Amino acid sequence: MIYLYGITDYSATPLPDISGLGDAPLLSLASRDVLAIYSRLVSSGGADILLATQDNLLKHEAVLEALMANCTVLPVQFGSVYSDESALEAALKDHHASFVSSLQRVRGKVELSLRVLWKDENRSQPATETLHQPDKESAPANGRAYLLARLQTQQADQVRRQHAEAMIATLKGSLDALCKESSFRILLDPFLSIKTSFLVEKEGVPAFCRAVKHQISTYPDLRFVLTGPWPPYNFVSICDEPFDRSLLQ
Amino acid sequence: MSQSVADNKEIVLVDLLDRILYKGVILRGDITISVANVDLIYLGLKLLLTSVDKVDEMRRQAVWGVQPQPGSRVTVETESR
Repeated sequence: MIYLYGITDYSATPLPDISGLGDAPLLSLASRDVLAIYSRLVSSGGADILLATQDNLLKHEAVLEALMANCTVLPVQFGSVYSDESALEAALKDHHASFVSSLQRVRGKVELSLRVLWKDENRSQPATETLHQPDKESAPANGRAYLLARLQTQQADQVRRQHAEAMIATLKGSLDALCKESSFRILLDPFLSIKTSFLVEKEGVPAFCRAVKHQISTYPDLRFVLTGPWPPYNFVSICDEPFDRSLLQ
Repeated sequence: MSQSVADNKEIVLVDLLDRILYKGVILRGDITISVANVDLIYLGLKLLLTSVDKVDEMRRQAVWGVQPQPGSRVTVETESR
């Protein structure tokens, strides 16, 4: 079995001095102008199972980050395992055009993550309304109470969404010029929560971080967490669904 | 290690897991990784080896009065990794 970490441009760049899962040495397989980075997978007990353990997950990321230091890399989702090199080569050929276009899309760029949260969850409740949050432990007395509770929940969600959308507009206005692409996601819950990802030129990261810090200073009632640089996980769109990941939910 | 630094490390790990398990190039491999035993992952690493959505669900449960899961505390500050 072999385990795939990522796809890079074919180049003479040596593989990073880091081992893969199970401390196996990194290997590469070229297919025209793209290169797959993989290692041999030692099967535990003969079972064809790869555990999503802490060590394995962090090792996967460590390999990608080591690659990212010297070249453009398309991060492959954890758990892509092939029987042998010929199977991997077939996958490379099947997706060659997508790999090339995706590498072009993210070349010289990294991903930054920004999350926005209220410092105090109570502040995320709509300030101008006295919305009753339904008590999950007490069933509605009747149909009317049930519908009222549903309405109030929807109203609360709407207010939170408006808060989040306003914040996103602000972030877009100040940060879009400093990144190539961005994605935003609103999580509707009693916390105002926004997940954002930005595709940023490597040399533009310091300026981007400064811009984020400036935004933070104007929102003392919000908490921000900025992480990265990451491999561009959110900016590759090659999907050949391997299995039902809802099992992880 | 200060509590703040520890909290931020948790957030970084949650960010990592949100990506490594749900994003990136998704290719059909020859075998299926073991993800069914979520409890094993969860118990070993508490909140760190679950997704951000799961974190938010836990926080929501805490707010609504449902018994929160261990490690559901999430406080964040600005910090570059």
